[in-house]
Amino acid sequence: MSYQPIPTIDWWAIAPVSIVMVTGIVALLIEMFRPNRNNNTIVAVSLVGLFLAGLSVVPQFSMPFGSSFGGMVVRDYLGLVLQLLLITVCFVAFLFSEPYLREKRIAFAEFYQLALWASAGGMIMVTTENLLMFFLGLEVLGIALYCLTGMCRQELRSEESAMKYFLLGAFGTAFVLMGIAYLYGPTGSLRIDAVSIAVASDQPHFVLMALFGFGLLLVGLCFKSALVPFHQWTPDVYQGAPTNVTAFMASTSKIAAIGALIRVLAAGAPLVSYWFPIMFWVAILSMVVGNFAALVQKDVKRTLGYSSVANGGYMLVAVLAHVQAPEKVSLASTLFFITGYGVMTMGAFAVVSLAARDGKEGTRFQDLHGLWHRAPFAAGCLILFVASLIGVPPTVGFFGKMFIFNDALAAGLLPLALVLAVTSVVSAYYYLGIIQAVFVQEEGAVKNESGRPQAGLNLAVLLCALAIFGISLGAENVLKFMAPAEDGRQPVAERTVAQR
Amino acid sequence: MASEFLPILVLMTVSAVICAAMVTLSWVLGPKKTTPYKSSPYECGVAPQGDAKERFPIKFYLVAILFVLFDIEVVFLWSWITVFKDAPLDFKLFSGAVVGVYMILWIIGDAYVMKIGALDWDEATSLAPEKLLADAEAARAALPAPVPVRQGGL
Amino acid sequence: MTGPFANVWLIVALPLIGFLVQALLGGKVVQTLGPRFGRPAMGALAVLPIAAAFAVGLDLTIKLAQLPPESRTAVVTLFDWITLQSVNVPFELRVDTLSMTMVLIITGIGALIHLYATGYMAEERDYTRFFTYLNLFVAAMLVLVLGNNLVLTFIGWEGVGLCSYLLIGFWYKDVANSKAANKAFIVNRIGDWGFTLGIFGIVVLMAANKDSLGITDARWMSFDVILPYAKDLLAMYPGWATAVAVLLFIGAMGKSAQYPLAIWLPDAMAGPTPVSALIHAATMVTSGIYLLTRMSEWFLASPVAMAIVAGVGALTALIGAATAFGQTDIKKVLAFSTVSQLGYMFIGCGVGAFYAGMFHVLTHAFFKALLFLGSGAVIHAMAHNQDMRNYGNLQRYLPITFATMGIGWAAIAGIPFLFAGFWSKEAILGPAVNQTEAVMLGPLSVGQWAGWVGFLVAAMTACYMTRMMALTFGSGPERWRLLPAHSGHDDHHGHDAHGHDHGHDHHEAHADEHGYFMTDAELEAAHAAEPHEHHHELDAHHKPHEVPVTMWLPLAVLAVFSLGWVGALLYENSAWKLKYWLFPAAKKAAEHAHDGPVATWMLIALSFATSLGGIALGLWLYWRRLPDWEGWDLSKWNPLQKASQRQFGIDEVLGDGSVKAGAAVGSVTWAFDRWVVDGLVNLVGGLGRLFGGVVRKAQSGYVRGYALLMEIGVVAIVGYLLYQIVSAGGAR
Repeated sequence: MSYQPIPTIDWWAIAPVSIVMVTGIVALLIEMFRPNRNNNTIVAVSLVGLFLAGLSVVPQFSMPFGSSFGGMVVRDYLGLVLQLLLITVCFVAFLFSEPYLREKRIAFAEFYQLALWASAGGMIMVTTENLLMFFLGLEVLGIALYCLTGMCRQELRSEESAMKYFLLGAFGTAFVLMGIAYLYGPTGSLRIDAVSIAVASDQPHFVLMALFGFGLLLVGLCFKSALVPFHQWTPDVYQGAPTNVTAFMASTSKIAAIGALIRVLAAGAPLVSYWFPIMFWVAILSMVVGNFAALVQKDVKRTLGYSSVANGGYMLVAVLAHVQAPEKVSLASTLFFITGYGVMTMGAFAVVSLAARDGKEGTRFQDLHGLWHRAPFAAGCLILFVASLIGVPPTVGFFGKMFIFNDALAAGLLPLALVLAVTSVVSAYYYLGIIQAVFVQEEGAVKNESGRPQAGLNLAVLLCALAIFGISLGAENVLKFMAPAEDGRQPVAERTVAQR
Repeated sequence: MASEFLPILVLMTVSAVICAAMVTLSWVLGPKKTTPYKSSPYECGVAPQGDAKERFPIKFYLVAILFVLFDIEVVFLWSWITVFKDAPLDFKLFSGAVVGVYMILWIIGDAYVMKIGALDWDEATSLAPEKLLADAEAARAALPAPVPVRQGGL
Repeated sequence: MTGPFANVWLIVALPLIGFLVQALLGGKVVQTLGPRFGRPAMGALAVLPIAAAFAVGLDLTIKLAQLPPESRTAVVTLFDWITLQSVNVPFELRVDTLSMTMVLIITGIGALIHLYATGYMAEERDYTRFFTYLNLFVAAMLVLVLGNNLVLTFIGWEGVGLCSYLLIGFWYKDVANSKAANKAFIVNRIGDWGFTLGIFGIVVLMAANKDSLGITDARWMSFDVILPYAKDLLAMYPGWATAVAVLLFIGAMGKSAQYPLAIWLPDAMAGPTPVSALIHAATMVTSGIYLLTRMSEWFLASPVAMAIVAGVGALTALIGAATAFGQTDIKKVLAFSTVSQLGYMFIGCGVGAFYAGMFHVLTHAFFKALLFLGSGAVIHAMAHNQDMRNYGNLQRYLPITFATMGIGWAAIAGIPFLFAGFWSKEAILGPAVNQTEAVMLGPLSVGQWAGWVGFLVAAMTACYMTRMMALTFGSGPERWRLLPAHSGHDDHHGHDAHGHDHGHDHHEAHADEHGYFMTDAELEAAHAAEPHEHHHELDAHHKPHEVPVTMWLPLAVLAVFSLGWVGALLYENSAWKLKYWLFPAAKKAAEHAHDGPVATWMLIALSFATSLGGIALGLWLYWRRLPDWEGWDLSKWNPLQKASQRQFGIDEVLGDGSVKAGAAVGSVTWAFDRWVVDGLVNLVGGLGRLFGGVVRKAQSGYVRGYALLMEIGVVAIVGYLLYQIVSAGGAR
């Protein structure tokens, strides 16, 4: 009987995920004993845990990159940046969640634990090159999000959206699993670059199966990233979920899924000529459908849901530009845009969460009326977030889109660049509608009289606003940070293939 | 390639054809004389009562899920223990540690389940209304009353 | 920032600090100390910075005078301001003879007028607001004259425009005042349009040619870089020289009230009298002459532009003087007199005698400020009634005012040798009538025409100023004792003339102290409910009192500077000291100065004739009586007088015409915007929404529908992949 060799353990590589996981467990233990009548202890512990996790990511930037645990965990630039981002997003979400949960009377104590585990799932997704680990992360993230979506039990819409998300999520997951199986079949490998092995094997039917599996894998990832035509759950779920969960989900799920998509697409480089047209059209459809459908929405969260679809399209453009011309286009602008997207989405949803009052969700545009008087700071920051979502210079949204635009041109993807520019202009219409709702007091509109924003929310909003300023002011440096050229940190596409 | 998989393909085709034929033929050939009594749903030979879309307590689902968790635990532990007895020491230590971590997590989860009363058939949920409002009375008023388990069940 | 002139920044900074003190602390101080002590305290704090700036300016001027004439230019860079790749616009101040002359005028007269205003505005509720604006104005004006580049000049230019607007509309509760302020601002915008275009022209010219001229300095928007090359540059581009000069002159026309852009200045008298004296007589309105003098190279390069300047100046001088005859409001007379005198200055510039223009700026600043402040004293003494028909025999009651204003009158009327006005007028008219080598118009050159018109205007000026003095102080009856019932509220006054210069203390008792939220009826009631102790109407029992010392002291000082010694001091051996002070290079040319067709003795004789003739006529007509043809009863006025009173319709035609034309243009552009631009936009937007609606239809809300679409997507994707493989001839 032969035994697998015991792998050397790279504690650093798994430290962030472990810390977040353990924090969740500790929070669960605290919840078990219910020491107080409020969640303050849990929030405090969670924030400390997230902070520690963030700290454990930072030194890894200077450690040797590569994979450990037999390829199950990988340390590279993409993974570290996205991990840091996921942790930050979770941190901000926790800052403003408690007041919202109280205002909406959501007595679901496990929000913090589940959100922490969802974050951990996302972090696993972006730091692995193993398909099974990837699947594990996907499911940890997904199942936690299903529960969170339905956590507002007195609201039918929340329950309904949870059910929809669960059913469609299961449907999507099935494709991922099937895809993994088809990749494993011909190659016997669970590595993310199994496609390359299949191509290298020179067996035509192996390539056929691998391509089939690869396509199914893409379907699952497109579902998670909310790309057209697998986007339809997005507006319903965004609208139904409690706003803090929407914020968390919009950022975390998108970041993790796009991170994984980057790896999968980069690993699929040998077959690029086959799948490229597909992703090309997926990107175009996402941008067009997302932006145009958002035009006719009457609900802020639905609008932001469609906006998320469109933003997924923008990110896909950046990824495709990288995959198309990895020697010319680095992943920096993708990471830049994702970072900006995470920050501004969190900020916008945090402000929108103020519309909830007295146990009810208020997310129609008219529910935002009068927010300017009630919470001038938050409303003021909302302008900033929305301006960034539109892409008004000099916000981070503008720089992000500009970098992607340039990348697309550099990679020779002119149609994508054009669609990006045009749909961005279209998006201004509905984004400005949000601002209008905040400032314009229409005759006879229901005035929202709920309480003033609490310190946590203001802090969260302030952090996001500062981040937007910081990132846009230092856009050049951030971009440089995200694309270090030297010491073997070559683009993902090359490395993945090279290390096979 | 084709020779390897051909029998399977034949099998699939034959079974698909048989299924399709059975359904289609009975639909085409069978007499269709519908009466209201005939077209009503079958329910143990009695006339159906009430709506078919009946709500039932989610407790059943919860217990089923927890039962599955125990299943999984046993599957893991069983397969591990079969290898464990003949393994070299270092593997024993390593795998023991891994399984230990797994068991700790599992036990914490199990304790949590019991603590919040998920297995307690009479308590409703893990809702903790007192966390929302300082005044417990107001909290109870603010939340919908827990749905009582119907006596007699299904 | 070293060297002898390093502390030039103080000149700008001091008024600016004064402005900040007034703005930030003023209200609080007055509130804490109470109006009785707080207002004098803040008044002192308003005067001090200006006086200190004057001291600094004097010190720098003395230092400057000690240098040899050729090196009397220094540039003090305070800090780098705008730094681009090839442009550097530092915050730099220019210390030279021209700027220091202006600085002394601005701060010297400014300090006196501030002092005067502390008395004049003593009962004003918004006391500190007034001095806030006034200090800011001085700061902006100093930036305008000290700035060493086009950008700083422009900042000062707009700054003084803003302050002028604020101060004209100081008593904003009266709509007429706000309208006057708007008018001034809008008309000035027209001028600014020309000014900015002129600046752009210079910038373009410099940017295009700086390489060929060999300019390596990145500060190529600064005067000390531009001016040395101006001659070469303009020789290369005569067309540009004319265009830039004309555009700059349009800017100067707006600011310095030349027809047709002069129509704002008479209305600007709605501001408090110290403002009229400082801004609309002594300083701001002369910035056009300053600009022309600063850019004199550009004008000298274009005879056409010079002819335009001289022509417009002569026209303005004539119209202004003619209009002044018809005014019964004492300040309006002075306003039109200012317009007319500004025309003089432009005649001087237009015939190339820039130094003469500046000389007249200097003397005019003194005597016109004196006249305005004197008129303010009269208005103050006459219960804020500005109508000269209600005055008469005031020499008995206001001896100091009469004496000092008399000196101002003699100066502006041009009584030879003894008074300042004569000298500067001679300095202008002499070169004008002797100008021969320029654009010809018939037998004479434009400059000569302007000069002869100038003599005519000189006679008219002497006459209407005598009319003003005679009607006010003359030994006729004390006419306010004979007031007909309606005369207090003459309709033909452009706006309500009485009661503006009047502390608005009435509303203080109310919580809604400004009355913003009151209806008209409530305002009336609030007025009626209040004791009228401040609101004395001019009635038969009124007894005028001489003004307090803070008000007559500035009059006395200004009177001293309106005397002939100012002129004589600047005249030396048939040469003008000021000319070589401002233009040291001109000295050599003066050695063989030639007499033109009109000899000096003839000029002097003409001056004698015009001024003494005009004065005599005025005294004969007005000294002992108010003639019927300009009395209280408008129906007895003669047509010429009426036309003059109505400004010959210029104001109406220009004002109404521009409003109507603007409305027409506006409606056309509105229609274009509404139907073409909006239509396109709405069409695109509508298409977008339509598409969005289609997409929304697909969003049924049913999970089965979503799953179906997903399934379709899967089939499409996988099918496409397989199709590609197959069409590529199997898997690779």
